[in-house]
Amino acid sequence: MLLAAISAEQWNWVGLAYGVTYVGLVAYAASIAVRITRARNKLGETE
Amino acid sequence: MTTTEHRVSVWPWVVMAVAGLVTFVAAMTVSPDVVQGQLSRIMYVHVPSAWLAYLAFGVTMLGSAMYLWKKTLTWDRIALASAEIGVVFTGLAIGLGMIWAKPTWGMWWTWDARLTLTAIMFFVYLGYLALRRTTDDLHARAKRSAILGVLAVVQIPLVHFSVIWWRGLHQAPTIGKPEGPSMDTSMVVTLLIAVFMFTTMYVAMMFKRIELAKLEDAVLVAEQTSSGPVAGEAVSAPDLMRGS
Repeated sequence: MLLAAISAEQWNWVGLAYGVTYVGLVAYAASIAVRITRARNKLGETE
Repeated sequence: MTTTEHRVSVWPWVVMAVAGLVTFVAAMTVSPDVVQGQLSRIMYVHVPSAWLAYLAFGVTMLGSAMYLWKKTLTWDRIALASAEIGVVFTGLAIGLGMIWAKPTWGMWWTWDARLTLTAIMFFVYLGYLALRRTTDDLHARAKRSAILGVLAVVQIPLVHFSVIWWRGLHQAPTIGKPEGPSMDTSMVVTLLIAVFMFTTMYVAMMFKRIELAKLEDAVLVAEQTSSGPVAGEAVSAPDLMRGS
């Protein structure tokens, strides 16, 4: 019972860590994609 | 500009997604550590993030040194791309370390040598990115940041060996020991898979970030050479002789 409770609490920390990792990486990848699109649009305007 | 120069490449996004998925599956299916339990799974994202910080800032140093030698903006873009990605992974390594520290050490943060030096390294490379915003002159910007990019690399051995030179709460290296890794083989293999997958992710990110740097430079040059009025010309000089 106690071991199960400890394991469940540990999984919460693991979930938080993987959540932070994957949300962070997806957000960064998305920021690159958005900036590429913006730069392409700007170049389209200036050309 | 031709469409060939601005060709859209999709494969880096696919590589990033696959590498992330493989890491996740490997980390979730390996047996937990006998002492740390499920918390040991945090290692499979924390250690690869820290490794990528070293790799990325090492590549920044290489790109910076090559720029100072060759004066080619391609090397400057490589240095910039790697520094930005390195900052992201250093931030992740610090954040994940804090999440791991709370349930194991009982605190989010301590002024341990490894933690403190990693935080300093994070802020130095944030400074590198800020330094690049101080001028629009492409070569002046490249030269300034290249000097910092070369000098800042000294932090990598400092951070890495800090756990040996100044013993604190952070554990000493587990894998790179002369007597072999003090971990179960399945955990070592999973960690190596995660490190390889994160490195693949870094390479894919580099392709996209260098593509972005090239586009941003092209925008800057186009804005500087366009015939439209610049902001300064819309402001008239004050008449200092009026009233005298």
